[in-house]
Amino acid sequence: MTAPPSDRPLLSVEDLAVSFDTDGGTLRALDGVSFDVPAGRAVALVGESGSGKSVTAQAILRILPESNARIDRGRVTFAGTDLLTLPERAMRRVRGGRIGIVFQEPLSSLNPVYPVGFQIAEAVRLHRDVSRSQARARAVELLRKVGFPSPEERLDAYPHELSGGMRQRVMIAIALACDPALLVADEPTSALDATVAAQLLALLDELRRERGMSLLFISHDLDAIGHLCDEVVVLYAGQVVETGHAARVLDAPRHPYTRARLASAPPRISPGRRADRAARRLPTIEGSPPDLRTVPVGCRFRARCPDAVAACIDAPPMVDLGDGARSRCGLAVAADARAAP
Amino acid sequence: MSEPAPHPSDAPPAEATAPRRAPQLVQVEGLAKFFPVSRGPFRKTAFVHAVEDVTLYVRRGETLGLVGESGSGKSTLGRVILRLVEPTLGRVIFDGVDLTRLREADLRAARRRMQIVFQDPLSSLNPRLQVGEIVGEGLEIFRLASGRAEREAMVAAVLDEVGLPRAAMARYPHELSGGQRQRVGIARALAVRPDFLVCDEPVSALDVSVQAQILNLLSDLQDDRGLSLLFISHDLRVVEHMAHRTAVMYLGRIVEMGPTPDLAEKRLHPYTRALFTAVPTRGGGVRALNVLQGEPPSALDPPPGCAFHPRCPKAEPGRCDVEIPPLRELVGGSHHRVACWHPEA
Ligand SMILES: Nc1ncnc2c1ncn2[C@@H]1O[C@H](COP(=O)(O)OP(=O)(O)OP(=O)(O)O)[C@@H](O)[C@H]1O
Ligand SMILES: Nc1ncnc2c1ncn2[C@@H]1O[C@H](COP(=O)(O)OP(=O)(O)OP(=O)(O)O)[C@@H](O)[C@H]1O
Ligand code: SF4
Ligand SMILES: [Mg+2]
Ligand SMILES: [Mg+2]
Repeated sequence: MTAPPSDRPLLSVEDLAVSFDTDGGTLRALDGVSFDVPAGRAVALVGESGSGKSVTAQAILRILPESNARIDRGRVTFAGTDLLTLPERAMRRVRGGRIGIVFQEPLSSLNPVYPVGFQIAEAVRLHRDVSRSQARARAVELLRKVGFPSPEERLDAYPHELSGGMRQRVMIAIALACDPALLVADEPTSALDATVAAQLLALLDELRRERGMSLLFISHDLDAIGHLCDEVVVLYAGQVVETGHAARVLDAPRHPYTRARLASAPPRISPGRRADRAARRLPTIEGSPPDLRTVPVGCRFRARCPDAVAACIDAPPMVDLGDGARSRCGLAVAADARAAP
Repeated sequence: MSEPAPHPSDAPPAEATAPRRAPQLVQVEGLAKFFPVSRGPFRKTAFVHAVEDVTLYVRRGETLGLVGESGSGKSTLGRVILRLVEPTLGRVIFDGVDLTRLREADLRAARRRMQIVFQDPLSSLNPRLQVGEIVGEGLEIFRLASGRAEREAMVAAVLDEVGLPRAAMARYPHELSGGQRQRVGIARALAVRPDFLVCDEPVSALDVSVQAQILNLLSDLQDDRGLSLLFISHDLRVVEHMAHRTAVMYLGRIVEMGPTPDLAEKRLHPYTRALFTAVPTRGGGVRALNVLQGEPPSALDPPPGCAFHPRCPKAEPGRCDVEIPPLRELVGGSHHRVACWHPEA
C-alpha cells in the first residue's frame, strides 16, 4: 500500500491572482501565487493574518464567494486536470472526493440543521456506493480515528451541541471520509487541546506515509509544521515571499518577513507570568501589512523591513537560492551572510 | 529555529505582582450545567454533564487561565458564569451580587461590565452588520458615546488597538480573514470597557506576531484598568504567559488549580502531566507526542469515581473507579489544589 513520495506535483498552483470587489474598491487578495504539492508530500502554507492562505485554499477548490470574488489569472492543476476550467459538475466530484477540505471555522461550515453523524454519512454516500447503515458505520469509524469521544452516542448531536474542538473533528472526519489523495487543511488543530492535536497530527502523518495522501497544511503552529511538513510556502500580502524545505525555512529563514516572523516566537513554556511590564512584553512586528486595495509599489514588506534599502522600491522577483529554496528579496543572500556568525 | 526568550531570566517571578490581596470580583460556587439531549431509537432523554461542581474565583486585575481537554466544559463554564446559559446548579457572585438570582432586567446593567470573546468568531458576529456597527453596538446600547462622531472615534480607536485599519469599519464579517474576524470579536468586547472578560480561545486564529500584539494589549488593560480575565486556551505557552493562576478541566470538573508557575512545574494531576507533555517541541517527532492512551470518556455517561481512571496509568482499582477525588490542597497555604487519589509527587 505504500506509495513512495515523488517529485511529480500532484497539485500545481501557477501565477494565481484573486481579487474581491469591496465598498472601498478592488481588493487584490492574491497576486501571482505559485507553488507545488508533490504527490505524497506535506506542504505548509504560513503567513500573517490576512495574507491570503484561506483564499488560496478556496481558489484551489473553487469555493470563493460568487458574489464578489474573481480569479483574475492563473492555473490550478490537480493530477493533470486544470481545476479552474473544469465544469462545476466534475468539480463537485473532486471536492470532498479526491480533495478533502478542512475549513478554518468549523461551526459556520457545518450544516446547522442536520445531525453531525448524518453529515459525515452523506459525505461518504456522495462519493461511494454504500448503504445507509454502512455509511453510518463508516462515520463512527472516522470519528473514532480523529479522537471524538463516544462517537455512537453523539452521532445524532447537532453542530451547536458540540464543543469547538468536537466540531473541528467532525469536519476532519468529513474531509477524510473518501480517502482523499490531497487534504487541504486550514488550521485543523486550532480548537484542539495538545493531546488531541498530537493524536491528529500523528493520524495525518500516518495517512501520508501509508496511503500516500498529500497535504496542504495551513497553520500558525510552526512546531506542528516542523513535525509534519516537508516544504514551507510563506505568504505575505498576497504573494509568496519564501519557499523551501521545512527544516531550512524554519532554521535559516532568508526573507526578512520570515525572519521577523520567526523572531516573534510564542512565549516559551515556564517561568510564569512576569511581574515587570516591560519584561512581559512579547515581541511583535512593528507596523501593519499594506492595504490590499492600494498595494504599494516595490517590495510589499518594505515599510516594515529592517533591512530595506532604496532598491526595494523596485518589485523584487523570486530569487533562486539553490537547493529548492526561493526568496522574494534581492537582499536575501546578503542578509543571510551578514547574520551568519 | 531558535526561539529567543521574550523576557530576561532574572526578572522576578509571577507571584511578586499576582494580585494576591485584591478583592474577588467573581465567585463561582458549586456550578453545574447539564444539557438535556435525546438519544437512541426511543429518543430517551439523557444529560450531557458539561460542567459539574465547579468552584473558583477571579480577583480584580487577575487572569485565571482555563485549560483542559477539548469538550471538557470550558466554553460552557464561561457562558454559564456570564449567565448566557442558565446554570443547572450553583451560584455566580459578581462584585457581591448573586447573578443567578437576578431578573433579566437587572442583569442588563451588569452586562456591560462582563463581556465575552466567543470561540467561533464568524458565527458570533451578526453577518448583516458592518464591523463598525458590530463594535459600536455596545457603545450605543449602554450609551457610552455622546453621539455618532464620538462613537465612531471610539470604534476606530479600539480597532486600531487590535491591529485593524479604520477601513475595516465598512466591511462585513464574511469579507474578513479568520484572524481579522477574531480581532473584531475582541474589539467588540473591549469597546464597552468591561471589568471582567471571558476570553474563549481569543488568539487561536492569530499568527504569533499579531497574537503578541493582542496579548500585550490585554496585559496593558489589566495593569491600567484592573481588568479581570478568565482566559480559555489550548495554547499552554500563551496561558503560562498570561495567567496568574490556572485551572485544568477534565470532563466537566476542575482537576487541578493553582498559581501558574507551580502548576506548570509540578503537574500534580496525571491528566495535567499528559497535557503538558503533549506540547510539541522541535525535533520530537509526531508519534512521541501521542501521550494519552485510551478512549476519551463519554459526557453522557461519565465514568464513576475519578473520570480520568480509564486512561490513568496510576489508577487504583477499588478506589479511583469508585470514589470521586475531592479538589484539595496538598501543601497548606500553597493555593495549589488537585483532585486525585495518587497525585504526582
Ligand atoms: N469575501 C471576501 N471579500 C472581501 N475581502 C476578502 C474576502 N475574503 C477574504 N478577503 C480578504 O482577503 C485577504 C486574505 O484573506 P484570507 O482569508 O486568505 O487570509 P488568511 O491568510 O487566511 O488569514 P488568517 O490567518 O487571518 O485566516 C484579507 O485581507 C481578507 O480581508
Ligand atoms: N447546547 C448544548 N447542547 C448539548 N450539549 C452541549 C451544548 N453545548 C455544549 N454541549 C456539550 O457540553 C460539553 C462541553 O462543551 P464545551 O463547549 O463547554 O467544551 P470545551 O471545553 O469548550 O471544548 P473545546 O475545547 O473543544 O472548545 C460537550 O460534550 C458538548 O458537546
Ligand atoms: S484519582 Fe486515581 S484515576 Fe484519577 S487521576 Fe488520580 S490516580 Fe488517576
Ligand atoms: Mg484564514
Ligand atoms: Mg470551547
